Amino acid sequence: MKRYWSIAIAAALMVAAVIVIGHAIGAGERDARTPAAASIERPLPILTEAGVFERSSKGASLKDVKPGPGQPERHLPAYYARRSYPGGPPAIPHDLVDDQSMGGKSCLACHLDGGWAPKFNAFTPVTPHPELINCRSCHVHPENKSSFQPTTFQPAQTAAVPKGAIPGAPPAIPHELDMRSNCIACHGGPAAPVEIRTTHPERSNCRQCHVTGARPFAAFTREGGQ
Amino acid sequence: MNRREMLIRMAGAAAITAATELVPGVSFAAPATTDSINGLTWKKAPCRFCGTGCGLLIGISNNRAVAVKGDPASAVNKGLCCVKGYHSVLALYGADRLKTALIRKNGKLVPAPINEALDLVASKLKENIAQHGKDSVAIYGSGQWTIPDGYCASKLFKGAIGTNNVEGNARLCMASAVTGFMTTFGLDEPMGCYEDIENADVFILWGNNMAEMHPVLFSRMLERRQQSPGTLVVDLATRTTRTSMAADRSILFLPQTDLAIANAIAYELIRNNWLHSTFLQRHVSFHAGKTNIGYGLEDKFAFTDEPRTIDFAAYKKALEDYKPEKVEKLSGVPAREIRYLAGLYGDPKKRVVSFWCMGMNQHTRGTWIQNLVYNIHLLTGKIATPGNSPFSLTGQPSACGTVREVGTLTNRLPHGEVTDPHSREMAAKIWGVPVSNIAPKPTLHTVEMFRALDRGDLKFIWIQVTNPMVTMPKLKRYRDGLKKENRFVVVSDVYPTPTTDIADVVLPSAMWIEREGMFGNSERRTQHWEKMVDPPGEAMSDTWQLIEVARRMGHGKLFAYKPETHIKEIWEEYRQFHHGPAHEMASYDELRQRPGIMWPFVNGKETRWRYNPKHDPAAKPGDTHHFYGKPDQKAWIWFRPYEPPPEMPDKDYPFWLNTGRVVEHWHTGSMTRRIPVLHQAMPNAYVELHPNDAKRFNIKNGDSVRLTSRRGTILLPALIDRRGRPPEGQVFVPFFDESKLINELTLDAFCPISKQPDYKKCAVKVEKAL
Ligand code: SF4
Repeated sequence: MKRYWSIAIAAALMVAAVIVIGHAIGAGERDARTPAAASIERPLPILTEAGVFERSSKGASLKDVKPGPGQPERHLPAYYARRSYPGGPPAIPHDLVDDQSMGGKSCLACHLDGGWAPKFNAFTPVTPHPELINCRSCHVHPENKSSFQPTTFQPAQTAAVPKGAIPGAPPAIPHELDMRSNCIACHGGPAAPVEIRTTHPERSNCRQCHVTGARPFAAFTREGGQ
Repeated sequence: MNRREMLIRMAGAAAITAATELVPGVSFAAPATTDSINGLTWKKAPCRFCGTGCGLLIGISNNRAVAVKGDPASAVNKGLCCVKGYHSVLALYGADRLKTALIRKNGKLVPAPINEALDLVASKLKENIAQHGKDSVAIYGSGQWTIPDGYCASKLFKGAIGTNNVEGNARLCMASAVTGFMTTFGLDEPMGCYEDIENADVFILWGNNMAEMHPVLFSRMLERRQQSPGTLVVDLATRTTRTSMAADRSILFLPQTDLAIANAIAYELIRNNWLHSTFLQRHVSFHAGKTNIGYGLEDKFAFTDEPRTIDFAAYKKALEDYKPEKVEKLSGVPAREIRYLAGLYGDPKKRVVSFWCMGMNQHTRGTWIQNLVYNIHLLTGKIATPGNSPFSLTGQPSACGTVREVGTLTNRLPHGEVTDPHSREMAAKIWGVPVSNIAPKPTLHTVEMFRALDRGDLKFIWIQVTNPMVTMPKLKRYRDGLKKENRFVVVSDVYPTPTTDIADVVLPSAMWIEREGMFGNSERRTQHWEKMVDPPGEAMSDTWQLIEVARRMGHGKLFAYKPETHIKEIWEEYRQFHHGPAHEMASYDELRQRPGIMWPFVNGKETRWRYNPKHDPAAKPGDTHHFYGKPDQKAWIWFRPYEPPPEMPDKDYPFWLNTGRVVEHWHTGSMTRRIPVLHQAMPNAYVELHPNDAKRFNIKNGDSVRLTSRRGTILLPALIDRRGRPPEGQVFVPFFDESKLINELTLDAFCPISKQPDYKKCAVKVEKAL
């Protein structure tokens, strides 16, 4: 175990050194006539962890936001029906506001913060990755329901909504976290499907209680134990 | 959104690459293998579709691919894909997958055991060679061939059979990029890499709708702009697209006038003395070639350039014809916009990336326009340093890996040109064939190959991983040609297509993750994947089909690879061709482990900037650059004039026709149209018109429009102000739809130097269909 720690520390030091030296290298090799642009702080992200706290400040404001009378709620089957497989990018279920504009100017006007959209009689889902603005490079809008040739594709199983290990225990996270590490985007607020909407959006550090689960790891054994 | 949110996704790559620099050979990225939730196993593969070459993780369960995510360890895409990548695995599961071979009997394709089909292919090859000579047979492959596919095709046809009738559809896609590199630098493929994006201040897109065609790189560029305010994206194009919407400035020019604009920029750089004079003195020489070079419209057209060295004064004088005011009249671009562009290139404080792809490649002066854009970067010395990069993007996932590096073109060998005795000797030695086997002259480039089939000079063609009966320009001639008596057509594919429809034998192929392979992307990155699921029925990889046929022809000794290890054996054999600091490739074992490796890969280190001695082990130290590709050790500035295209709008055919792709579909749609979400998002081809033209013809969205050129006519629904907007007097049609074949109308004119056809310009007539 100790060995792993020392490797980890060495790696961390190396990365730190790399950032510093990397900057030096970068600065040195620019065309002599080209002054360096303002250097940008580059924290090392861990992609599956990066988004945990994003929007957490919004969580508290979502605490008491519930759909009012006559405001329909979303359910998981509709949520999955938009995707070719769990984790796939959802298709756009409504007409496009503007077919030509970039997401930053159109999609994000609603999907950045969500809220009630009277035009669609629905609460607007919130994107977990608002930093990506070429929205329709991943999210497409079906023009019709026609088929060119049928498919025999069978998607990955959708995860069952988990229960805690014992009554009262926090359930584990049953899905991958890539592009979906921002918990509150999908689990908080009135647009979240009822089945997976959190009762406590104000608690911002989701993963202090909810661990990624259902990994079929080998059973834990002690090395060298008696 | 706070700054941290914006930064966080992009930050990883730079630090990771910096780390790799310090500790070569150690991967700092998370291992991308078998972490599993819900019983899925995740395995790495490059995306099957565009030349960006995103790293994917494929979710496998019970011998089926069931999910996809972006590989966070891939330096290309860092966990992000586009809609095609995310849905790529669905392409395996169309209900009409070809699972058995088909042989034409009494005019109909009927199922047959694959061994019978392979026997027939081999015997037809032998028969034709015996009767009509070795140059009566040909293979036509693809930039979607894996590297081992292309290598075996080249070895069989060029090495064993002894004909240079080997081409790939990349001739239609990046041949001008190759001749551009060869004429300017003497060596193919970009000097920079995608990391230029994180280092640039200005991006100039030359006729390049990146938002749809290289979406992940486009997102990477937009993120750079978010991180570094002041970064500029300029869209210089013939049509308003999604890319224009995101750009800071959109400049429209008339088709073909990019030649004049590039010269006008050079003129302004010289006039203002925005030159890097020490760079010019040490690293650049000046040249000019033939003019009035023709368009290849007639059969057996031949062209050889006659380069001559000129001096700076002569170059400067030649540019006098390209004053911005004069070019404004030709191009429709105001002189002040041309000066603005020159100002961006000429500003010593700005690092500039130029991106281009099909707009400059599919061009009857494709080689020239590449030369002219390199000129701008050479005049300003903005090349081969981080963020200063003329960057030719490639269209297909392995156009670089398989067609350019393996050399599956009539004039190429895995190392060098067929005309070069040293390259032939090397090939003969590695392949184990007598050097006399390897023919010293190029034979048929793609358009001429299909013309030869029509004429009857060519009797046999084997087509793999491509669909020419949708993609050839002036399609009717070539379809009629292939259908003639005494032409034997073999097609290896995964689904029925218009090309399999006219085949005599159809071989069912194992695709992508149903077999092991490698692709090489736009930034010189080679990426390996393992076999993840079984192919359906008797489907067999293209590599193994070639090996089986070679053995049946008696060339078994040259193809003595074992089924379990053949990809490794082929790779290690092939990689000998690239030995040396200028092109060293990683070993098979390294490729297996890492999410992709850029060549030259020397002493465990990737080369990010070629010709830059700080990075490139082949460049002589002691100076900022070393252009070692040309005999004079310099990069060549070419004077190339504006020349008009062969066909322009006139009284009878008053509109320009431009063709291209859309984000949802890959090439001819044979795979992506079988993915329900992509088909439904873009169910059919359309014709895009300017709203004023539509009004003039009383055409509304969805109305049926008849387009007619001198070569053919088709009906298409109109699409007005949706995906894009051509200027007045121009129309755009995507080519993915096999039931609306726009290539019935296009012209088979090509660049005389690269032999690549121009799909972007011909003249048509527009009518409302009643
Ligand atoms: S950008 Fe290209 S390589 Fe990347 S996922 Fe899309 S199609 Fe695949």
